[in-house]
Amino acid sequence: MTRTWDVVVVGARVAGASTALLLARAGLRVLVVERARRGSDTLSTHAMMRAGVLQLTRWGLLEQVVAGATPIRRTLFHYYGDDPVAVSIRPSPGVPALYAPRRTVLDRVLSDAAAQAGATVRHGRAAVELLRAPDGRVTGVRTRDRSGTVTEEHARLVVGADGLRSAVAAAVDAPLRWQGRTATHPLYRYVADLGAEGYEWYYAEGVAGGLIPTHDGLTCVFVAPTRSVLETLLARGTTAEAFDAVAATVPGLGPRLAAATPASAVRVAHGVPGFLRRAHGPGWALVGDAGYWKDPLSTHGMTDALRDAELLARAIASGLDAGDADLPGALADYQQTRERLSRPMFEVVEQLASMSWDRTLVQQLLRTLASTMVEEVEMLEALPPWPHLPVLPAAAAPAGTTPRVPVG
Amino acid sequence: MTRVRIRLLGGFGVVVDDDPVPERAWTRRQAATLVKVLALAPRGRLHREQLMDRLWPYLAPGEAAPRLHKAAHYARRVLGERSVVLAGESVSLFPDEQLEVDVHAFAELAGRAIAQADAEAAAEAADRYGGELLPDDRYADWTADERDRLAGLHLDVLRLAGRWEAVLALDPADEEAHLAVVRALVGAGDRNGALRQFERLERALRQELGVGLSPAAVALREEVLALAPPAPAAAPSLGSRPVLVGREVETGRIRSLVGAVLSRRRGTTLFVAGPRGIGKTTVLVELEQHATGAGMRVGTATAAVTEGAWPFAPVLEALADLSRRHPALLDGLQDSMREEIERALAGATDGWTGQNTHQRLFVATAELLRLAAASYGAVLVVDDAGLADEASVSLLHYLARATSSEPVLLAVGHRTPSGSPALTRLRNALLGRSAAVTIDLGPLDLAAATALVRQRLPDADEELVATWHAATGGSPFELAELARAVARGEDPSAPSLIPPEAPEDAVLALARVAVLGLRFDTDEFQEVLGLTDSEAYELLETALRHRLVRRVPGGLRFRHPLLREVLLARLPPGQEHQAHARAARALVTLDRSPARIGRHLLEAGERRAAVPYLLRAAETEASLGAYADALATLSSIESEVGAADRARLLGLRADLLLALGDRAAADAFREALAVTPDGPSRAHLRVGLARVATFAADYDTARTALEGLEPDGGPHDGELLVAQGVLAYLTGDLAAADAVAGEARRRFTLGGAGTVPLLELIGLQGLLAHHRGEWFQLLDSELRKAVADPRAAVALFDSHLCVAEYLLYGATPHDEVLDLAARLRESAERAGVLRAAAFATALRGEAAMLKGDLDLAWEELRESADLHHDLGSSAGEAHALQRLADLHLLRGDRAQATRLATRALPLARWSTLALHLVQRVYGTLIYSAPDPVEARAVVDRAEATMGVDDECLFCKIMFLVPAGHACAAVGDLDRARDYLTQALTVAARWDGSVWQAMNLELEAHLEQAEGRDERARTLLARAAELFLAAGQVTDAERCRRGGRGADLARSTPPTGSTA
Repeated sequence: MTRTWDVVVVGARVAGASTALLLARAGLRVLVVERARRGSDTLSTHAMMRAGVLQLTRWGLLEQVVAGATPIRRTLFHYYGDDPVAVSIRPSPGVPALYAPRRTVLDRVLSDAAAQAGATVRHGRAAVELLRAPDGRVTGVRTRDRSGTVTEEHARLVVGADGLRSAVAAAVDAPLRWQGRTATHPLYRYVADLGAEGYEWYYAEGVAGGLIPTHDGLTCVFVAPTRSVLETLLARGTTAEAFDAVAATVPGLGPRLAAATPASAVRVAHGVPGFLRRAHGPGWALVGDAGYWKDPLSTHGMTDALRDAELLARAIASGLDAGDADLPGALADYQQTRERLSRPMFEVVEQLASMSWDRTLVQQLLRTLASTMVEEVEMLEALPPWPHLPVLPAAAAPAGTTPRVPVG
Repeated sequence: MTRVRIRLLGGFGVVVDDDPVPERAWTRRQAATLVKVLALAPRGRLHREQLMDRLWPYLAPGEAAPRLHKAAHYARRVLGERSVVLAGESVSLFPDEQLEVDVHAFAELAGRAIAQADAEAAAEAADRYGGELLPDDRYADWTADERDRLAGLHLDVLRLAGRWEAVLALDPADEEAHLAVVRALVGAGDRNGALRQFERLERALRQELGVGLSPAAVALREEVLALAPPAPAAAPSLGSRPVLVGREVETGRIRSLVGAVLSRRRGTTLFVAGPRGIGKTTVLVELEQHATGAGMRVGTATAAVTEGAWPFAPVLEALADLSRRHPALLDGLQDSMREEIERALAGATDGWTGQNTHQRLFVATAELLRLAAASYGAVLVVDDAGLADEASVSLLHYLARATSSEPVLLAVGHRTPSGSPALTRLRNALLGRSAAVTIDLGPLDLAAATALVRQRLPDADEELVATWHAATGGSPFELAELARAVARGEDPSAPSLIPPEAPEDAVLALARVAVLGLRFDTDEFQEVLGLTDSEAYELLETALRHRLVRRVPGGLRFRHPLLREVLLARLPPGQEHQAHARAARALVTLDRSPARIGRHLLEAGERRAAVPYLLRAAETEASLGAYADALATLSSIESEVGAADRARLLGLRADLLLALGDRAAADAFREALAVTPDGPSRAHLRVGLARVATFAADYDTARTALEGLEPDGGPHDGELLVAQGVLAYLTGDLAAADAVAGEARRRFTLGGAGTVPLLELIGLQGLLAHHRGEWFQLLDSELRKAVADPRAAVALFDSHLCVAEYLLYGATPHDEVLDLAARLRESAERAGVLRAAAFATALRGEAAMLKGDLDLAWEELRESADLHHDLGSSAGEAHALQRLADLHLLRGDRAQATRLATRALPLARWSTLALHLVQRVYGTLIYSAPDPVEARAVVDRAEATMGVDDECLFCKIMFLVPAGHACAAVGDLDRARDYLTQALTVAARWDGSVWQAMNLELEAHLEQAEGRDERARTLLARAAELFLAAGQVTDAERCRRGGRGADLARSTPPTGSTA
């Protein structure tokens, strides 16, 4: 079976579903394929920063996403066991508070919204190969669903939003623009009854940790030891024992965790150094972790994905609107803006993830991190609203079946 | 059944049937309190333990129970036997009667109105709110939550009822209410009233960092502005900003400066200077635009003295502007720092207790600037800085140094001459360390003048421009005005900043408003002129139409400072006083800053009337750490102050002098004591006097001052205990010192009433800890604790001077001292305890010098001297300068050493630490003398001028050893011997230090002078060993070399012997 689309998006998590949503709202024919099931979970820090919450508000989705989530109104920094330093998160237009939604909620809301906007969303279907024209230009994807049915989906553009280990990026051999060297190796677990006062970040000699209140009264807790410590601990015992052992070395955190109730198993994320890949080529573009990855100690991956989804969608909408000839230029602008906004943070996270800071340096790095976030908030606040088309009720217009006229 | 009505809102009252219970009936406070607590409880009933917990939270139930019974007994005596009934475990108020409490009636009505969104019911509920809950019990814990809840409920019903003016009276920053008022005014066709409302909103928002009009408000304001645009001015429009001409060189320099700041990531200060009208502001605007274009974050402000409502205003306003442009920055600024800046922005005066709070403000502002600058770079512009208060200049200096390794550009505009000694010093200091550049603007050349004129007057011929160029001396402002006048068809031979067609009465009115300053708002305008709304608006429209003023956020502004000056000159002779008097009264009506009111009254010649306002202004200045400004304010009213205010003025002055470390504080405390009646204020003054006297080693005075004072649970217990402790320590009673310090510490930890000068306490504990060898650990951990504690006060770290000397000349390796001091500085900066940071920096400088790392020493000592200067700590500055002088000696530059030591001498002498410092400074002066004869003369001068109280038991040796060398060098061997004997006595008090080595070297010098070379060599060899053991390589080397005749003028001074 063969079909033709304006855009095929590979991956329906934060970056992919958001890009599809915006493109569909702009009236493009969009297909999203996602290997995982609808509403499935994935490893995440959950934390959204101001720019991320702002995006959800701008797209009209915040209420759905944060229903049942704990609003975060301040951040506490715990340095080396000192009394915490508090920073209030003050409301701003579109950002009543910060939130750290469960991925089972956020990803579902985004992909449902994409479908409702007219995108065809196919969960449980993997992209197995890129289709190419004789000149090498990407022209679509071959997909396979769980039953083994293979389809060819042709498109004017294929967007790789398939995460850290992106198959699309690998298939197009997207050149690296920057390659980091450092990575942390966090252990995650959900905990109940923790009473986190907002986001709480811990930094001490060779170890970091974080408390991130999410949905259902749960808190996502991570602790990040150095690689050698983690390896030693995992060689000796279970991941849960390793988690407890690392938590015990974070001044002030150990006793709090000991008094709380674990609500999940411990998961380990073996760190991958940050990178920034070229974001586009003939017939393809990358968004989210597929094109730009930085260590989760930044807790900024989802926020950047929400930001870049719109930058990319705007580029695509304007590029395709004027005929495909303008697309490369528009995508080049997307890449430039993404890099202008990302590079300063990339550099600071690179140092942060080395874990070779001391008390003074880590505070300097976090100051720089905070400073870099301002830029993207201001950029997004200044963007005009997305050109909304009236969203048709799902019953009246089955998702993905009604092609619409692109708007300029 | 009796009807009992109890009023809690707006005050306490009980009416039984129709008879009010007279206030005097409540002879026992606890009885009334019991009734209030019960009345506030639902149905007038509480569990007895709950009740006791509210009334006596600090007492165990066993201790509280008898008090409850007693209170109930007295309440019954007032209200009757069945008024307070204890039954079982509960206590009830009038259980048998019809009890009506206003709080419950109001809350019920309000709740129902809100639930039903019923505006009419809300209005009814609002009418039932009699005022704040129990205003007389404002500080009782049991009222706090209820008071807030009821006040919130009141605001809610006011909003629901649409009573926006009432909402604004309670919460002037409520944007929703302002916008509702605006919409109503627009609906009534009152455009000017609506704009005035926006001014009020912006005024209210200014006290909060990073808060400006919301997008909705901005949009509405644009709508209002567009409603009836004023008739366009006659002059051809050049857009919002004239094109900069004739400043290509300057523009080029600005561009390369911005580029350099960003690429080298080094902080720089730019001074843009020139005579009035030369275009400084235009150049600064060019800088702002270029920097913004380069992605930097910018904040700007203009200092204008008549606007100066609070200390630090122009610098804070620039930072506030930066935050308004980039509110998301505040996500990176810790709350305590934001609050510190906001406190200063609001000019808050929450009872200054003599502590150096401004250091936290300094740290907070530096952090905000660093945050803004990180990765993108920041520019802070302060224009017209010659008019800034001294505190602002100190803050600028601090910011310049604190951001020296960040991409920060501080741009300071000022007229030449600036007329501000503080600014001149800032300029020289920064230029002297190559941390600043200047753009000195001169007149435009003829070509530039032609270009400028032709922008406005395209057909102007060359001859005309040449004439104008000559007549104006190339002043761009005047040239532009001439061109504008001609463009409007006016006579260029009599150019005026004021268009001739502007009605004379409008001009005169504006002249009267001009005394307010460069900027004013519509409310002030109207009030000063005493006009009705419509008269005021009409006049404003005229002024706007003739471009005399323009609208700016929050108000209006004269088109140019020169225009304002011309307007002021239009005031008829003798009217200036009247204008200021009117301005003062207008500002009183509008409840504006006391500083502004007071200064206008002074200008009006109403000196006595100014007193209460300027006293309050001085208290604000003191509370925000602008000590020098506060002292200047006080001295402006000193001769006028009446008996009633005299004690307040003198007490504040004494505290200020103490905070500045000025020895005149002792006399100031005595003066204040002479006019202060018994009571807490007097106790505070006596403690103050004791502290000054203790610093000056006048222990008898200190003892007398403290005599009979005991902690009494009052607000001054903490400082009393610390003063007692320090005195005990310094007079050798270590056990008593330890006990008192422990008690003070306990009270502080418990958070008892009043303030404990915490860091001074830490200082005392530090001295005690030093005896146990735990000094640095203690300081470090204490400072770390102080980080998060807003009560953390700031101590006079100078009291550590002696401890530091032990450390430097004792067994601790210099590298360790360097490291320890670095950590201390770090924690001190985090805590905002800059005095301690300055102290630690000096300590590092000294350690580096002793170690022989002279470059590092220079850097640290220089920084310490500057920081101490900014903090107004003359003792610390003197100490750092004296050490810098030593450094120059080591480098062989005697002249420079003499210069610095001479600068240090008066600072040392008039500081509270003279007894430690003066002798050191003289020691340095002896070594830096050009020849032995002059050195000997310095010894005599020192002896003649050092008072008996200039002697610290230990620090004395810093003078004795050099004096001995100087005498020996000119053959005055008896005197030399005498100094040696004294020095040996001092050194004997501290075994195992390098002081022994210093004395051996002096003795060797004497032996040489008397011809016993053999013995001298032996002594020098031993001295060299001891120096070496202490890590003082330079000194050891000198002793090894110094085989013969240590001619003072040719020898290098021993690094150790000057300290």
